[in-house]
Amino acid sequence: MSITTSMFQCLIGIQCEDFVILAADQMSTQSIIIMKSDMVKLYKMSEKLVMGFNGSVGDTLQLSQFVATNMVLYQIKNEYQLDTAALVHFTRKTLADGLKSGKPSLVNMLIAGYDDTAGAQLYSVDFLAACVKCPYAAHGYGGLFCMSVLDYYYKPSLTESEAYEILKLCVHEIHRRLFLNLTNFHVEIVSAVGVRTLPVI
Amino acid sequence: MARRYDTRTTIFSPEGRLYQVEYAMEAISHAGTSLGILATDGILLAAERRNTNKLLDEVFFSEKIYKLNDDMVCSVAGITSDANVLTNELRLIAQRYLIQYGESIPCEQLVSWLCDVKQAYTQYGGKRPFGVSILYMGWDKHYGYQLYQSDPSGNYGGWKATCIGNNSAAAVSSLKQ
Repeated sequence: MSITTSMFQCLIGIQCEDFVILAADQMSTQSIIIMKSDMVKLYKMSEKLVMGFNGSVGDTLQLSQFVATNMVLYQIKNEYQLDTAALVHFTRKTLADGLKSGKPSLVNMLIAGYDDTAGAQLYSVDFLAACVKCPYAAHGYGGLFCMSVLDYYYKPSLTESEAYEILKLCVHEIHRRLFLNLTNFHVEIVSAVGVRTLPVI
Repeated sequence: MARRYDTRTTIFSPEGRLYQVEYAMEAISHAGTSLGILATDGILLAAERRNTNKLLDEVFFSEKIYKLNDDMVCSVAGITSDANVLTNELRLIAQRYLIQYGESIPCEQLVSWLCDVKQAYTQYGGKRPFGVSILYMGWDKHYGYQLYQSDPSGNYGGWKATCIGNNSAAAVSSLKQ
């Protein structure tokens, strides 16, 4: 599976003072054909943690299930949960091990979490196991167009509705300038109260 | 009668006991004492260092308290060579967790992992159990300051104050007061 598969998809994330918002396109393609346009690429991993996956369908599914089951196992064993930073580290390690052992997975990720101590956090992890904690991030060709919009409008003090409006601007820019057909964007927000789904853009 | 059941560690006696494990615990009760007290703002660990022979080279003195990682320290009572193997294993377990999750291992998990190793040596054939009891003190973000003790059978528990080694029963009873 080529890298272009993941570049033809899009993930956007914005982290503000007390929430993180993620958006992902909902396209499922096979070669040049659109199979469906309501695929979910954002997975709720725990009470206050959402992961967004881009990449080849098999790899994203495999990795998301692996991480999710390991998280549940940890919770059962220890009666407390992995925090966001530890889960990101675990995910990155899993990817890096795969990469070095010659069985890489073609997956780009955004990880959004809220911890009581560390607050809202956003991490960007790519298929080369590079991991960066950042205030806003985007993957795919669509992401390239978003960065300038996010650079311009981002403030740590944004409210939830303001951040949602910025996402709308990003999606608008993608629709205007990118030749790809990314119709629907699924939006999830993570905050102190948990994970909520916002209307599709 | 006992001789028939204590030649192998893995065999129960008719009374349902594992003699080798009990002998290991006996060995510990002759070892240098280690004592730990848990406070609200920290933990105290004290260990008796024996056989201070004047001829012994001070460059290589026998440690009794070992640092395991940034957040944990342990003190041992029992056979020193066994203890060295176990502290090495403890440090490995702690670093394995660190590389997996990017943060220090929570105290109880470290103790629990090591006790799995200790337990295995009371069960698998041809092995003798480790003749070591360990006191662990440490801090983690889940439960704060903690004090644990483990014995050769692989049992462990959390304590407010406890003691292992020579005369430990007397020390524990005076700690109760």
